[in-house]
Amino acid sequence: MLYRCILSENRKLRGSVIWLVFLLVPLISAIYGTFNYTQNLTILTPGWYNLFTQHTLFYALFFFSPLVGVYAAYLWRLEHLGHNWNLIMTAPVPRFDLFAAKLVVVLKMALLTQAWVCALYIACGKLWAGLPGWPPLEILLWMMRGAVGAVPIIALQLLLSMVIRGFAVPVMIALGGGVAGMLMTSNGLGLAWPYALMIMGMNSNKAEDVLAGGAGAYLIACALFTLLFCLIAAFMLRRRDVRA
Amino acid sequence: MGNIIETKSLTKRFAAGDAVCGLDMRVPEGCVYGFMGPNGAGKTTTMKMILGLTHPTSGSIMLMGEAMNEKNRLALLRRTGSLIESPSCYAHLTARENLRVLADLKGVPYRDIERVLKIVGLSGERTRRVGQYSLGMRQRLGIAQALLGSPRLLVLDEPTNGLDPEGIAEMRELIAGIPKNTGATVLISSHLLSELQMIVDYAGIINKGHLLYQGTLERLMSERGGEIIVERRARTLEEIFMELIHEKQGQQTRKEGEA
Repeated sequence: MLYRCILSENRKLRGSVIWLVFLLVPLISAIYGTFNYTQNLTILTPGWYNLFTQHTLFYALFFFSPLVGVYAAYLWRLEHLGHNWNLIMTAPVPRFDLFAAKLVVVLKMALLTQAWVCALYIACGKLWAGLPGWPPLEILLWMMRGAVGAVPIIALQLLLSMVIRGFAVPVMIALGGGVAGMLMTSNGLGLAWPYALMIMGMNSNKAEDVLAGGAGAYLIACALFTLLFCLIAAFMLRRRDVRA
Repeated sequence: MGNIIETKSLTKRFAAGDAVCGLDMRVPEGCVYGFMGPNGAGKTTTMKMILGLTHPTSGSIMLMGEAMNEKNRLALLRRTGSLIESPSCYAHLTARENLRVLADLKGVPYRDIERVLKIVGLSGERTRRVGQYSLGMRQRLGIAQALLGSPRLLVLDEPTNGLDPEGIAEMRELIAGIPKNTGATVLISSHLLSELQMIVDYAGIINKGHLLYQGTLERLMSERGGEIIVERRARTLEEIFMELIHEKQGQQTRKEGEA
């Protein structure tokens, strides 16, 4: 039944404006990052690592959480508009599958976003910054780790957008959460704040690995936050009366 | 003929007061059951409880002989189609895509989409975005969604809301034909009593959460139409309805006064 719900969610995204956001936000972030890198070559050591720090400075700290927030808010907005809650909640599928399907679809979009960011990073490095060779494989690992850190943010944003009917409020919370995540990470409290996990996983704005030796705790924090938000969503979907 | 819907002492209490009070509703299978009442009478709340969208405060609901609970919910919803409050649709998708979204959720083969589009007369418009549809076309799409998967029970809440007289007549014809064409039972609510009068076999009249009348339309008309001969004119369902509502309100006010 979850598969059927995923099929249905994917269909809702066809021809949607959300794909424009998907293309543009990482592009803007990459342009900012590369521009910053080329303008600061007097203080930065030229190379793929420092280009990555400048790209992720904007992307992971300021763009990613609101972008995931937009994906989540968009998927729930489709249900908030036009009495569609009545449609989905009278479908013969477990209530939580509706939430889980949105989680899978937003995760798919987040992974595609990571891939797009990676492609832009390589393209900017080769074509704009004129860097020799290819980025170190370690950076690919950081990108994948960042995707794992995205899962609790996605679950939280889906929960917020399910409860808050407005589009902008959950996105603003994500923006605030991302900025607070930067502060929490720099104070060593990143594992206790869901929005910080992606920043830590991506090794944002750092050339050395911040998770060295701490990958286990990082994965446990991601799993616990995701589980917590999913349980709250399941409880609310089951207990609350539907308001279309 | 058994009852496809049976509620026992069904009650829904909100912070503002009781929306539905001890409702004992019985909808016989194979009929069109008109559920009537003024605004805020409890029609939509009752229908939402029947579909599991709203949790009853107390009482029970039996659908197709099975209790509507967490255990049976999915099996019962598989055999039920509904249109509650207003048609649900994704405006950026076409009618066919909207029905595919629902077919995916219901696990219904896509070939059924063409069948329901034909029934509601939207075959020619299936590739148009629903955002460009008129209200009447959206209502038709809502009926098509309800009919998808050939359900045994259709729950339609105010399906003629906002339609022009021509649209209402078309919708009336469509709904009246459902039991005959598909074998489904229809529970329909509407404010337009003259329209309901033309299509329903059974009637339930609700006011302030209390069921005032339930039975065949024929019985209601004959019981209340005793004065027809005296007055030498036919009384409409609307007149009987207003009389019933005011009569009960008067009784309630007297009881409150005595208390």
